[in-house]
Amino acid sequence: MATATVLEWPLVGRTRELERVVASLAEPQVRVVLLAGEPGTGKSRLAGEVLAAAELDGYPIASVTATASAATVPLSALGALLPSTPDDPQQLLEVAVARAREVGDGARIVVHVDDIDLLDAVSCAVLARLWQDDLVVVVATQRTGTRTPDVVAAEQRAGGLLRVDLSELPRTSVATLLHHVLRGPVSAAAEHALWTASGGNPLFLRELVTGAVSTGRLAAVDGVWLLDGPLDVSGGLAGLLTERLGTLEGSARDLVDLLSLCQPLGADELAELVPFEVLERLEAEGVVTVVADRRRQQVSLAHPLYAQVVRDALPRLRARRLLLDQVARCEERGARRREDALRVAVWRLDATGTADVELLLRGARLARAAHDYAQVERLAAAALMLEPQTEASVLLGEAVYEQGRFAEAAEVLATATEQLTDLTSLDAARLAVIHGIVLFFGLGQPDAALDRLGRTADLLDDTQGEQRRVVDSQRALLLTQSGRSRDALELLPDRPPEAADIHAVYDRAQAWALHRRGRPDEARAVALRAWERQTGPDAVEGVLHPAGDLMVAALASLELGEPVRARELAAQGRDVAIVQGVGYQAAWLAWTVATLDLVMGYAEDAASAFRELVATAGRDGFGAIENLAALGLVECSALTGDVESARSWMARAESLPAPPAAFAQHATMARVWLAVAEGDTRAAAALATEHGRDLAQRGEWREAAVLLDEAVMFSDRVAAETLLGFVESLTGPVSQARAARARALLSGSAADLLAAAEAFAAIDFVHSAATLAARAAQVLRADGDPRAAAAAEARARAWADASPGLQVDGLGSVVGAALLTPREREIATLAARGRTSKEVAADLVLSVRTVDNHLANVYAKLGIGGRADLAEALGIAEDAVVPAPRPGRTA
Amino acid sequence: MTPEQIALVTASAERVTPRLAAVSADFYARLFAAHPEVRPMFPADNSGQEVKFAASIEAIVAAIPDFDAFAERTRTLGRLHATHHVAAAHYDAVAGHLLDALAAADPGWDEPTRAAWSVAYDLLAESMMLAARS
Repeated sequence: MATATVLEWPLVGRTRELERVVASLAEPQVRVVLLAGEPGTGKSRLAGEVLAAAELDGYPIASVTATASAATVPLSALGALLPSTPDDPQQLLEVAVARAREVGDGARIVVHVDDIDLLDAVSCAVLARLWQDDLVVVVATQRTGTRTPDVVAAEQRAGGLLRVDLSELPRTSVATLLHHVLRGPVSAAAEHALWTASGGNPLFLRELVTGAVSTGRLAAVDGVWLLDGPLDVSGGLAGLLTERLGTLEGSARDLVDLLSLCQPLGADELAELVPFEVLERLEAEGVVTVVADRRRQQVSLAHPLYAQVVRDALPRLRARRLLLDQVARCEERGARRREDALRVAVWRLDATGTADVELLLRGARLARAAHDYAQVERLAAAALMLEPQTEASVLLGEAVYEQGRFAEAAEVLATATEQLTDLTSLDAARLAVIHGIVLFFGLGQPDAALDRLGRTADLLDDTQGEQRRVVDSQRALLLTQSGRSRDALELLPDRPPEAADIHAVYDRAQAWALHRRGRPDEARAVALRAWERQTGPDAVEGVLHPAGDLMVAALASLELGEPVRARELAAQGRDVAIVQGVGYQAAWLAWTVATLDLVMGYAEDAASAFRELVATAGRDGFGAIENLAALGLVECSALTGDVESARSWMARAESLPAPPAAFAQHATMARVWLAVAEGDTRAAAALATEHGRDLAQRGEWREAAVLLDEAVMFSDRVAAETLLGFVESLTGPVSQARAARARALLSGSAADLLAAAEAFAAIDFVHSAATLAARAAQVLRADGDPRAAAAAEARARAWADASPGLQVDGLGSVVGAALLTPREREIATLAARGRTSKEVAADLVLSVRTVDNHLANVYAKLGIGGRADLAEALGIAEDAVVPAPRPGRTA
Repeated sequence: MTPEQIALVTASAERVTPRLAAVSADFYARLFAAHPEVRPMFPADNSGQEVKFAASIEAIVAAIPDFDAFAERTRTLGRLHATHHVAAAHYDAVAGHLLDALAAADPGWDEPTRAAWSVAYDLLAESMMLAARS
């Protein structure tokens, strides 16, 4: 740069956006404003003006600059907001909230976040918490094409995001801007050249003008700015920047290079390095900006693109030397503040690829608290390279597992196991826990997982109570997942481990075991307490993602006759897992939601969710979940009478890895419904009864009850007897309703049928209620009590009509359909599939007149006008091979 | 602005100067017809405003060739408008009606003249909005 030309660049052409954003600061529903656009479109500039306006209006303000480098160490960017943060991740949010409350003093702090896509996940989580609590409103910039942080995407879904897209300036605005900057008219040729070359990008325009003015190629002649010759923009904006910044020499060069690696730096720190005049000149030339924050003056390069361009051109060894010099200077001054310590770690990591083990571990723990497993992986891996360290291995193994790379995680943990020096230490116990999780859920090797934990348990003696509680909590959890909940409850220690994070494993084991043992009320209470412990204000991070607790709570809620609550809980868990990027948990919860939809009769929603899961779980390598989703599709297809699809999904499921043994009943249930769709209800009942009896023998009461109840619906008396052998001792209204249904089947009495109907109606299982009442009506009519029959039928119809929300074809005809005689049903089914009366007559060797008489009765019973409405009234697809079974299931 | 645009605007302004009062009345009539919601921002009897408006146009056009004078004038005007809560949307709404009123009064109006006025108006509006924020 030959001359220091001071040009002022006003914000032109953005007043509309500015006014919109400033107005939104007073709108409580707006929590995040996202200014998006290409580099150089003026996003940061606009955000800066918003902040200035906010400050004038009396808002407290703060600025956060995310950089690729700061992203390495969680929270290092949030210095302006959190001058001191606890190392303990659990206290982090509390401290942030308290601090923001104090600074904001009743008003929302307006926080400017530059390049939010580069902000680490811990900082994102802290900010999200603050905006959710209405303590801050974030004005963030994001470059086009970068990834929107999950918390921002979630806020967008929640309706709290105002997105403002900044595009290139129109030509008129470019002309106005030039006129303002150059303070006079510009020749048509110069204006045309600058407009064409910059494309309306304000930063590009600024670089072009600054360059051309400093070299004298753009100069005022008789009050008009003229351009001498064409502009060379072959290298684009980056080329232009490289050229301009490349002409810097001496200490100015050092300063710019250092800032590109370490910015922002305090002006006081830089004073030791470069003469003040150099800093001043660079500021005047628009190369650096100096921003005063609360405690000191922070110096950065004037545009993020500058840093990128300079960094890209910096030789590796020079970068390394600059970083290490900076580390040395910072350490010499004592690196007093925690923020300094983190920055030193980042610089060292950037320079040498490694840093202090304790710092790296601390960063990894923080990142884990935010479920930023990619970050945990980087930091823990870096720590491990310095020295073998069990905690780092555990963190790394867990992080790799959570990202779905199971074999790799198992390898990390196996190596760590071999390197253990004290096999009975607490660290060894924790290693066993994670290793067990990876082997069991990741690799689908339940025996290997239980062996692994058993070997560690065998080494422990009575003095090592805590280690035992840790290991046995995990063993109990795996036993529940192996379909051995009785053994799990037996093995579960008398009290939870003191290690707060393993407490979650203990809770999870207990919740699953109680649920599977038919005690849904206790199961849900345990699960919800665990969820709150891990997500509430005093959150303690478990080794399991807490969304899994909501899965148990949801399934238990279903058993408690609260399907709507069940679905809410599962959906909540799914959304949390998605937002936190824990794909594996998200997939389990998504499966739970779909399963609940299916149970509640929303077959279409369930089918599309299952289909999506098959695709995503398949892509992510979650074979067991893909399997379960395919089984779900077997049931959905069977319900709509699409036998072909049901068969092909069954074949797909059989080709995939089996889910944990605890989920084996889903394969049986799919086979049951496939058999029903194929018209073989006898086989269906036999399948359900056989597996149900087996489960009952093993004390897996809940799963046994589900299958046996299914068989009871197909009038399987053995199933009813087996079910009555245990179901009455279980808790929850669903179990009691199932017991009533079984009793009704065995006695066949109208009174028992009506009692069962009432039991199901009480928990809003109106399908079951309506079907049972309709059957009671049949019995009463056969018994010669038409008045009672009519009353029962009225009840049935009322229940059927009370569920307009259920998206199941032909629901309203449940009552009528139940009243059809077998012959009528047969004829109606054929007619519904499009056979003419003559064809039906030929098929069944009847006269056409008989067929028509039967059909007339059918129309009357179903309350429909004629043949055209038959298929819908019966709830079957026109091309279905057999009548579709009706959803009457209770799980 | 380019020197050519400044010349076009200056020449056009000279042609309409004798009719500036009418241009001003025509402009307000167009503005209020299209945007009745801004009518309350002006006095019930707007004739005084019309006179001021005509004078302002004349003075600003005359100042364009001298940026400092132009900036000084727009600064005062911008701050005044800010006290009346005039927002960017209002500036946008005004542009078309002003140009239409000028076109109706200028016998020498053509496309280049319209484009030149349009750039001049943007320069004026942006200057006023900048002043309002400073």
